[in-house]
Amino acid sequence: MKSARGLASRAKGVVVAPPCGPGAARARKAAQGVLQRRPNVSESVVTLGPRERGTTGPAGVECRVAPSRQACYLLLNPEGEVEHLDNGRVRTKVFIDMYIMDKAYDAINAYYRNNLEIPGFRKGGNVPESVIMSNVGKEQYFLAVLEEVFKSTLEGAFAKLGDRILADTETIETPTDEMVKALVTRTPFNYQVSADILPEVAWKSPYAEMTIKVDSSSFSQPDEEKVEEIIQEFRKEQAQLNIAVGRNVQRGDMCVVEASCVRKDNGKPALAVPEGAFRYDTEVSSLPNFVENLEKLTVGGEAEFDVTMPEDWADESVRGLEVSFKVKVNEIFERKLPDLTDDFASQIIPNCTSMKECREFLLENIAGGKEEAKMQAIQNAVTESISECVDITVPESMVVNIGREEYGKRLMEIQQQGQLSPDMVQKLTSEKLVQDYIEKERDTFEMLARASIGVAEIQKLESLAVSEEQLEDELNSIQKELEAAGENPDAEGIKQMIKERLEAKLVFEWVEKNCQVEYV
Amino acid sequence: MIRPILTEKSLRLMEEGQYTFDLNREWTKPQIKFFVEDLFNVKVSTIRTYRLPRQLKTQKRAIIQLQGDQTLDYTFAESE
Repeated sequence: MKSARGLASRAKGVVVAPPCGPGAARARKAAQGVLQRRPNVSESVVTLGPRERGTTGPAGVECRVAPSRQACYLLLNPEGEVEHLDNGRVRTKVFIDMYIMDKAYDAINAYYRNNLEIPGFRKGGNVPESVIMSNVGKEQYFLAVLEEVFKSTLEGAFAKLGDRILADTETIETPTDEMVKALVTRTPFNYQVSADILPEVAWKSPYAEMTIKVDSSSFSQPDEEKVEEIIQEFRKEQAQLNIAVGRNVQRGDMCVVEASCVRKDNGKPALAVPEGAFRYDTEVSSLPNFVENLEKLTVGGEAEFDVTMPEDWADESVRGLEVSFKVKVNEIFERKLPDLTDDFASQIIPNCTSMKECREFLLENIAGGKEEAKMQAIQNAVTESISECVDITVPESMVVNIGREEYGKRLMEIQQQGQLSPDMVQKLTSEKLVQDYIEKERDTFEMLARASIGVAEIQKLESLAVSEEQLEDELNSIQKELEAAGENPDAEGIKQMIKERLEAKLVFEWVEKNCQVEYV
Repeated sequence: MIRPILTEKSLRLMEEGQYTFDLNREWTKPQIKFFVEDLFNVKVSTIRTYRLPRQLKTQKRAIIQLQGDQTLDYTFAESE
């Protein structure tokens, strides 16, 4: 019933001022009508209204005819003030006039007209704004309009700062209620927005003079040694476990033990030793003196001994601490490794007929893998060096984004390995866990963020650009791969990703060529 | 008892000064005329009524043409 009021007034000009105005007709009836109904709208707004569109008015008006980024900036932020905040963010005010508001209303009305099923109207038909509003719900409707206003204005809000604003870091600081109120009453308003800004890059020392120290341990091992290591590893995996009788524990045995561990200084539990009996592989033990003490025990034997935790232990909180172990050996299993026969060769590599052939195959593969490992090691070293060379405060949003990305990657890896149920994955995506992970790995993420900024800066300073052909080639090959895998690729997103990757690659190559590289 | 109808057709008719309502099936045209004239303070020229297929048995639809350039104001129904 209430929506009929707006319709009637629109159709015949009945003097009933609708609460929100008659939609598209509003714009066409020119700003005059709007202003008559809204005496509180200031005169300066009139100059920015649709009536003035395309006329020789102020610069802000002209830009509606031929919008350029700078002109739009003038329109949205006429005072041109960008405030730099203490936390590395910037803040500005965006002015929303009647023209922008009308555009947003029209866009939302058009969207709902084309997508909403309204009884009595065909899709895409001329549904009055009031009918749309009553169907969608007032709150939802105005929030949609507000969203549209942001969509059309946020990009230009920081136009003065160029590309230095980090994507998706904008925060609208003006309360939503205030803005919705202004939309409902069709009053021009300002909203305040802040965003993270890419800091000015300073270098501790000239980047061209960096010394890149590459850790060569991952690719310096002789191939033959590596092959034997792989074969030995596989033998161990395939080994039979037989119960060892009448002897002490020996290194290489698999034992079933019960153990407890407490800190010597305060007697509190340490190292999260499992309760009850658990399997313990003496071959991979990295605790000093632990296996040595086990070696004194037979089945049923118990021992108490102290261990000083190594300084490179994974858990930082116990490094260098004295802890007391109490261990009981329940079972000892010895490994019976399979013989290196031709049959075993086919187990390592299917279709291999002899160990010789198997070794050759592994050698070949290791050579390829080594090249990759070398490249990876160089990339890691370059990343670290650039990060150390750059002197900036990293924006928090960058750290968080990198952290989230890494967390997502790790979760996906675990999921792909089938180690977690979908329920568990769901639990692991909680905001608190992600935040904890980011806090724990903050140093790494800050390093990556610094390196990323440094790489972009080097690319800019050295004018390293990816050719369009190279980009297209790479894009086509990846698109084909994705299509073959039955996925529907988002061309623009992939293109951007490939561009960033290729640009980073160019920078890495440049650094490798122009800086001193040491293999350690 | 009487409910204005908003559809594409009713909107088109509205621009020609014809207003569409759903109302009680028992009402006759003279009763409708009296009711509309009394409620909206207008003069009715003609009334056409029909029943929609699958319409509730208690309702029918009326298209009311007003005399001259008169318009209807639905503000009585505004809930705000």
